[in-house]
Amino acid sequence: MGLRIRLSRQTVEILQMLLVRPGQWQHGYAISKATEIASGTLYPILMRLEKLGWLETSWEDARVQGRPPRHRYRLTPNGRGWAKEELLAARETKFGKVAAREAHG
Amino acid sequence: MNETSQSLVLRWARWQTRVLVSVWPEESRDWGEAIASEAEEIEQPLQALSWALGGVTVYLRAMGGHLWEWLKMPVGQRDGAAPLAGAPGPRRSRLFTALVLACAAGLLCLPEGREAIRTVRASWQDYAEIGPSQGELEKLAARAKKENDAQTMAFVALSTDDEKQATELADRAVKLEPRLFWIYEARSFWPTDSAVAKDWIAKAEAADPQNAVPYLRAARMMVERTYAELGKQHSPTEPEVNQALVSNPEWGKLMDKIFRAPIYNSFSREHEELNREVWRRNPQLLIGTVLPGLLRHAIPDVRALEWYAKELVKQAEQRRVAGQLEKAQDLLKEAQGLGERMEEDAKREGWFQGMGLSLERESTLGWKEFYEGTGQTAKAQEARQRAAQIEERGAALVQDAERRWRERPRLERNGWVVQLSGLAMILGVLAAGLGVGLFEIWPAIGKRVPRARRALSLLTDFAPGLFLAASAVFMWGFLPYERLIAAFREGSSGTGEVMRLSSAFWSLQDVTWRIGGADAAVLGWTLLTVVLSLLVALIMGRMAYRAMHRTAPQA
Repeated sequence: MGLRIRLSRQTVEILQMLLVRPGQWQHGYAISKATEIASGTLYPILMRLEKLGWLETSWEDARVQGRPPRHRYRLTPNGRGWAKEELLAARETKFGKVAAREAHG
Repeated sequence: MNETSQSLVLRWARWQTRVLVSVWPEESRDWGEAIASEAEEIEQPLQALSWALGGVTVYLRAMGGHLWEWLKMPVGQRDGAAPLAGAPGPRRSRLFTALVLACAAGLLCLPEGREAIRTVRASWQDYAEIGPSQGELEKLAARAKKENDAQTMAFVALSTDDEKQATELADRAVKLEPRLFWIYEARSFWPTDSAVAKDWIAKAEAADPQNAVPYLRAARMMVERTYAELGKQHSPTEPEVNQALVSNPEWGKLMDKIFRAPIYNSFSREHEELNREVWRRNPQLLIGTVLPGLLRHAIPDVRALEWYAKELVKQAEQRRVAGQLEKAQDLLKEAQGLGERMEEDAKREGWFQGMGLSLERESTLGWKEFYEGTGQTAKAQEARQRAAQIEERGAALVQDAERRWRERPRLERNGWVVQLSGLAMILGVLAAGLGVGLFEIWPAIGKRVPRARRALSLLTDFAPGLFLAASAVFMWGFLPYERLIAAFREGSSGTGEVMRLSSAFWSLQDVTWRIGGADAAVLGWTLLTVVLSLLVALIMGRMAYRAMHRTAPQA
């Protein structure tokens, strides 16, 4: 078991989203759109995950002229393992069950 | 929403996230930039707006975290900067320092703390003698005039040193509330200026002709005048003044009026109640503003009364010897009557009881002589017993006064505790402000003189604690004063509150005189002003220096 974090409904949703394609970088706006979590809630969770070593971040090269480079995120290899364990544990809780049910349709 | 406004919203949202980045705490600025770069990707204006607002909440959390980390660092420590080798700065964190200072400030902000500060400040304000704060009185007078508040007008009229203002306000107050007529009598203070006092006495006589008190004030003036006239030749003795007065027919007429007046009412209770009420309504008033009016309440002249009472008894004895028994009895009744009326007044007001007893004693002894001279042995015996009872009551009164006087040394000790802890409080807060200010503006201060830097660090570490401890002692030391003030405001401790309160206040003022002599207040405030000015000059100089060095490379 990795570093425990407080799994709020939003954290569960973000972890689930990041676990769908674990090796692929995701942008903040894309995560927000997929999970319907507002930026004011999303970023503090991302910041916490990064601080705990679950998440790695990088700046991509500017693809569009005149636009700043974008920040992107993906789970670290350890983070993936911990996230899976936490999600399994979270399924035992009420909101985890609900979230898991929603995630799997 | 049309295209222009959509574009405006979009631009505003993006601009806002960029602005946030510029003020974002350095350690998490990447995240601010991440939010800003994502905002550029959003094409829907409302979504962009929502994104930007979310960015604000993230920024606020980041700032909160940053502030918390900053507070946990020692005073003067900058982000990422290592402490100076060999000359570390303060060890206490900003949070600890701020908490200690806040606790002390919180204590002093309690109603009791504010009362203590006001009272002690008043004790330093008037170093020559107790005097009202004219500024406070001016404000009260202006408000009272605006609101047609007769009671406050009367209070100011009785407290101010400005005779013109007093006259105007007293007349207006009595016009609004005729039952306040007694303020004319109460205002006829010790007649330092006879012409002025004469006006007040004339108004008091016109408003309350049945009362002996205004005539007593006029009698007092006559005593003063006699002393002054005799003093032109040599320093007069009391019997000489007595002789001069008794031989003055004007004096006789006046004293006759006094002893025949059916009422004796000095209105000191009304005066006390008025001041109490105004203080209750204006708790911010300084004790030095509330007390003076009460302490200057016109007090009758004891000696003149005693002289005249003795004169009446002497005349009664002469009449008795001459066989004019009825006339002799009238004279004795006259002397006895005023004593009784004064004692009656004392029951209500707690003042002048001793004076009333003294007059009663004189007249009772006169009666004893009369009865013995007329062969009424039983009545003479009765009068003797009555005189003995009066003496006992007088002795009890003296004992009571001594008991009250014994309270004074305790308060004197408290006065020292309050004043010294108050000084320690000022030193503590100034030292804390100086230390924290210097280290925050100039973290490397004294790096070339490690010993001085260490001393300043110790001062910065311990001054807030000194401030807190001194504040606690200050509040504790002030408790007896607080109780006296509360008792006065509530009117719960019976008679003599004014004297107890003023005695307490004097015990505080005594300390200021002993510390700095008559100029203690001037000395104290001068020192404080110099220290604060130096501090401000130092801080401003340092800020100017930093500003110049920051702009130099750009130039």
